Amino acid sequence: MIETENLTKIFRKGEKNEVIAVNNASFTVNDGEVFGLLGPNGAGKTTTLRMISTILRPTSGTAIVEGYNVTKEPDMVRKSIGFLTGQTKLYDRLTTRETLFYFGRLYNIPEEEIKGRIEEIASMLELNDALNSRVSTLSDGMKQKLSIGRAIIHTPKALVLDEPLTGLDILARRSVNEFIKYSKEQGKSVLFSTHVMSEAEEMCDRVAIIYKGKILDMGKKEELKEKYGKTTLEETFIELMRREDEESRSDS
Amino acid sequence: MKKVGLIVRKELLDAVRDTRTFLLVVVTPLVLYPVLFVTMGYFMQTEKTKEEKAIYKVGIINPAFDLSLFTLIKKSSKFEVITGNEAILMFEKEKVKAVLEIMDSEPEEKIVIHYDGADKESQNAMKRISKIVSEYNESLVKNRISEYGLSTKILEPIVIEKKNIAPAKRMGGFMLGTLIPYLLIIISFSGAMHTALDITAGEKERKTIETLLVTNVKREEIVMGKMLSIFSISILTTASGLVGLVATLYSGFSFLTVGETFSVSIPWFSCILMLIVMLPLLWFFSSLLMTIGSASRTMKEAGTYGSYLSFFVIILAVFSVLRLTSPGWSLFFIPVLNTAVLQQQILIGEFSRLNSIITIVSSIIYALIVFSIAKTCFEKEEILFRS
Repeated sequence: MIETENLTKIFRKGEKNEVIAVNNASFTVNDGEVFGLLGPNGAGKTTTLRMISTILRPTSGTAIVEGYNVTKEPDMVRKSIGFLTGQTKLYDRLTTRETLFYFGRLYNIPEEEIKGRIEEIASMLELNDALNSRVSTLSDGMKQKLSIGRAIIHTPKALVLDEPLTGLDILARRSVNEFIKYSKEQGKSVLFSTHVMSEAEEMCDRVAIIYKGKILDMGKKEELKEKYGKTTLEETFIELMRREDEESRSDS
Repeated sequence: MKKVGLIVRKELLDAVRDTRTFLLVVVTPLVLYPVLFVTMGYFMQTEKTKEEKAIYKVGIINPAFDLSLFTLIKKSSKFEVITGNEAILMFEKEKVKAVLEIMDSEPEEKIVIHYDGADKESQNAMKRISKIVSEYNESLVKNRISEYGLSTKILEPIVIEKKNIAPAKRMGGFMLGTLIPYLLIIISFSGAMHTALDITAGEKERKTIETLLVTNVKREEIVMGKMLSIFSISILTTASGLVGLVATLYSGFSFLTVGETFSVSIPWFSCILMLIVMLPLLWFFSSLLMTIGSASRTMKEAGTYGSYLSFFVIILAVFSVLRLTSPGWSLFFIPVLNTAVLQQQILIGEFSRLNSIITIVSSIIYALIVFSIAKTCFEKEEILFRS
């Protein structure tokens, strides 16, 4: 389970110039649930996910991942999550096997155990033929499969996926979609960020709409659509943004 | 420490497979520099031989004013002599390399040597003529003194004889010390630079840094792992550089030894000592480069800062080429220069314990200071995720 409470991140550039990237974000991702964080570019999705995965430190508020506090127990949080992004970010000069071995060892998996785990992941993601190939020689789809393998090598209980489908071709998208469904079936909490509404429509059980760092609303997809009288999630999303902009204008 | 070791292993494997690292760490110091030095030595030697064998065409104006001098030059096998009236014309039409103009001015005879200062051969011809004229001048004075019944010894009341008491080994060390430490420092710095920037700024640019940061590894372990990787690569580059330079010297063709009458070599003990005194400097370089790489957003930005830094390193190292007179202990507090001067003293075989201690301890202190800055850069998200 992932829980955030009033999670806030302020970036300061000098004394007077500050940007509130995430403003009091509170939400819960239950076990066996795919939770979508929807928002346009620059809405604060990546910053929220970076705070949850301990890459960034929150300015205020808390996030608890599988019972561990991101500020107080970052090591345990990192051990509990699998982090994946859309763009494949792997070491080009390592082979598939070396990549999985390296990350497995970084997660303290014993050497004897890790070999079996590599075989298991390679079978599951159909990476057997690519085990001895260097990452630089792999297709985008294979790279994404390897990224998935890298993210789950330590069998994490929660998954944090930052726009995992961005820039992927149809085959690679399919791999990620299947992986998300599989993780859900395994009872993992999946936090998923995207700015593509069709992805959220297809994948998520519940969604939160984030805009200018603020969570505008959240709930089940159908409930949200009904609440705002819209037929699609995209229309709901645009309506919420419009209301927020109007409110800001009237406030100022 | 287990994870630090894992990171070092991975970074070294990555570096070994990187063609650019291989070129900078192995090919450049072991092949490129030796080939360059041997080629330079070959050309310098060829030039020297060519100059010794060359016969220069020279012109003489008014030979009748001093037939003895004219005959002396004409008889020399080193010149092809022609006569004429106008120096510039002789340069343009006859393609002479120098013109000797004898002027009939009383009471002393005056001689003008015309030459082209922008032409090496013309300069050489001028030097040859000057030498003949000086010897001729000297013989004239001696003859005149003898005519007065005096001894020619009155021209040299004191005879100066210079005796170099330095043994060949020490002389060789002195000569090598002029360039070897400088070259070694430059080779080491450039070898470490690529790896350092690649595994810091490069990793940020490729966004693999996030992948590493979300694993179960502490940031200080990542910093230490990366630092040890850069340090290992810099040691490897220095060792290759030293082997390359020594091999070039033993080949006997290096430009460093052209024209020397004694053999020039570096004892292995000196090589090891030179490598040992380099270690704190290499840690210092690794820390500096890691700081730059961690604070930069892209490889391009890091490369720009790295170029500025290498400029300072070259300036500091180049002071050692000037061969400072009796360097005092305070000089050994100056980073980079202290190591270069200490290596010069090692090559001569005379280094004081105090200077060695100051160099090593001060370099370690500088390295630790810069390392703590590098650590801070890596741990501060404002710097690490600067956009």
